[in-house]
Amino acid sequence: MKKYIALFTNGLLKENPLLTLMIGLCSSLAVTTAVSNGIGMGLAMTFVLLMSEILISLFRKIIPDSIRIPVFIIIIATFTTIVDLMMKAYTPELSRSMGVFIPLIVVNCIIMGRVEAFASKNRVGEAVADALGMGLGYTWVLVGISIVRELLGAGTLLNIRIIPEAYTIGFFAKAPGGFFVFALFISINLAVNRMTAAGKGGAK
Amino acid sequence: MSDLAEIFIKALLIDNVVLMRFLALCPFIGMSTDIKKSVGMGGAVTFVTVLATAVTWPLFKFVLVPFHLEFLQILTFILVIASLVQLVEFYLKKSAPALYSSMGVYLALITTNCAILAVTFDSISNDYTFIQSLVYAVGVAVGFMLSMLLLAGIRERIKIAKIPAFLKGTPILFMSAALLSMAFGGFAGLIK
Amino acid sequence: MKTMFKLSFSLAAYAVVACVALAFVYNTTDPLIQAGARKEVTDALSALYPEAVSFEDVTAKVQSGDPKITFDGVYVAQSEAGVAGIVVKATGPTYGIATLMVGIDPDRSIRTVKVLSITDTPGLGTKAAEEPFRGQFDSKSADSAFTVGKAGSGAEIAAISGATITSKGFARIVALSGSRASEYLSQTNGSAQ
Repeated sequence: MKKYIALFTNGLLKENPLLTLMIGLCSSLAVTTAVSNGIGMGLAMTFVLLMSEILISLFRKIIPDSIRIPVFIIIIATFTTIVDLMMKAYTPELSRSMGVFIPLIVVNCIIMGRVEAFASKNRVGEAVADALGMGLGYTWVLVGISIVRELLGAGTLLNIRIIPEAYTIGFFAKAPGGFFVFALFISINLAVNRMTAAGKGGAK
Repeated sequence: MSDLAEIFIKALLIDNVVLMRFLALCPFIGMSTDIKKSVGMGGAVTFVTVLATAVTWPLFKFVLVPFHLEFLQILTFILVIASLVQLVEFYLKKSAPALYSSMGVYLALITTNCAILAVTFDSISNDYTFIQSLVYAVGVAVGFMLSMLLLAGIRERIKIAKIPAFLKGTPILFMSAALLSMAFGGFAGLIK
Repeated sequence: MKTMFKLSFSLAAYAVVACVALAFVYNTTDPLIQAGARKEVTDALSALYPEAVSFEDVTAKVQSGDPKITFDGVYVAQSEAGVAGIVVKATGPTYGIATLMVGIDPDRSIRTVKVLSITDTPGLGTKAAEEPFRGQFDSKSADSAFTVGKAGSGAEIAAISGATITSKGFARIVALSGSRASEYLSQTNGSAQ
């Protein structure tokens, strides 16, 4: 049990895909203008990651090594399409506001990266823990950035007005704001990592 | 003719794929360490993007739509791109081994370059003709190369600049990208 | 050679399974997606002309004439008393892209403008969908040019400050929809073809 928890928290903090490993950036910044988009993207990506890791871990001994990349792509693309169709059917507004970024989940480096590095070499239980950790690690950073950008840029959170419109800072809602907020998140994460590493080293 | 020029300018500057649309960030950060690498990567991406568009556009219009198989778009498009990247890898290994080895893992990563898949999808959703899609593809790819060159130039300066400790490494790169993005935001009114 | 054959076969097998799975999901979700889209259109049309009993699709007969603005749908609203008006669903460029529904009454005035979607910057360009900007078009003549300028400058439509491109693009879509639609109404004398 401890192993699974360790794997899970690994993706959340220590090896956070966005802040530490710095993969899967593409779709992340663009959807963070609104918290609803951030949550939607995070959950959609987590679903695709989870299902892909499970399936690939299950089949890891059967998939021939030389064609493994195309097979991985087929599996990931299939689940991405499933998410896309389900969102179009059940959450059409969210699907429209996220636009082309849902299909882009298929090229999200996190999924390909974890599937190749982890799921294809480990058992299903561990793959599940890894997927959930990475997926939720991705989601919380996305939601964090969205909260900052939506609150400061539009004055709302989940479309509920919090700051009066006159005080919103348009910078955060536009493209440069995304880069800027992300830079701050990375630097905070680096600082936290440095401090915990120093703390551990000092204690030793 | 003017609509082609407009599509090109929009893709290159106004809707710059990296700085305004946040696509292709991984190679943007990873490969912009120097000008030569940026040009090499940019060239490879341009080639793959145009070729991918040239294959996926007819695939969609003449195969997927008539047979009501639009839902296979994601699957087929990404497989086309993956195959093309394999071909490019093959070809580069044989004819330009120096460039091949300097690009290392990033060559294979062109497959997961969001920008390429986005271009193939946009060509369909924007209802472009075949020629318009190709022009769009070239515009986006050149825009990608442009943004990498700009960041590579900035990175060379950053190497000898004093940076506050908490911004060293990746954060300052993203801050620079933020500034570039602001500059490109100024192109918004270029075309009425 | 034999291994390549085996590999290709196994790859193809995975692809086929994937396609079958997707076809299954597609068949389940597509009716929902279509129904949702249809309902959205009818709901929006009824919201504009609640007195209408039916809507006649005349999309093929009304063109925008502008390559950048497409008329996704043009509907004549029929009520018990005759033609209640005409609705144009148009998509065109603002800072992003906007899809609007413009209702025009038989007396060639704009009933109102409904914003179905607008991809502009949230909190800035999206203000076009809210009051007071959106409401400026109500009751104005459908044939007016809808010039856009700063508030108090004498222009017909006051622009959103900081979102001039959005304001101008929006006004252009409304102006084009208004003039083409009222043209059609007058040509057909308001009677259904």
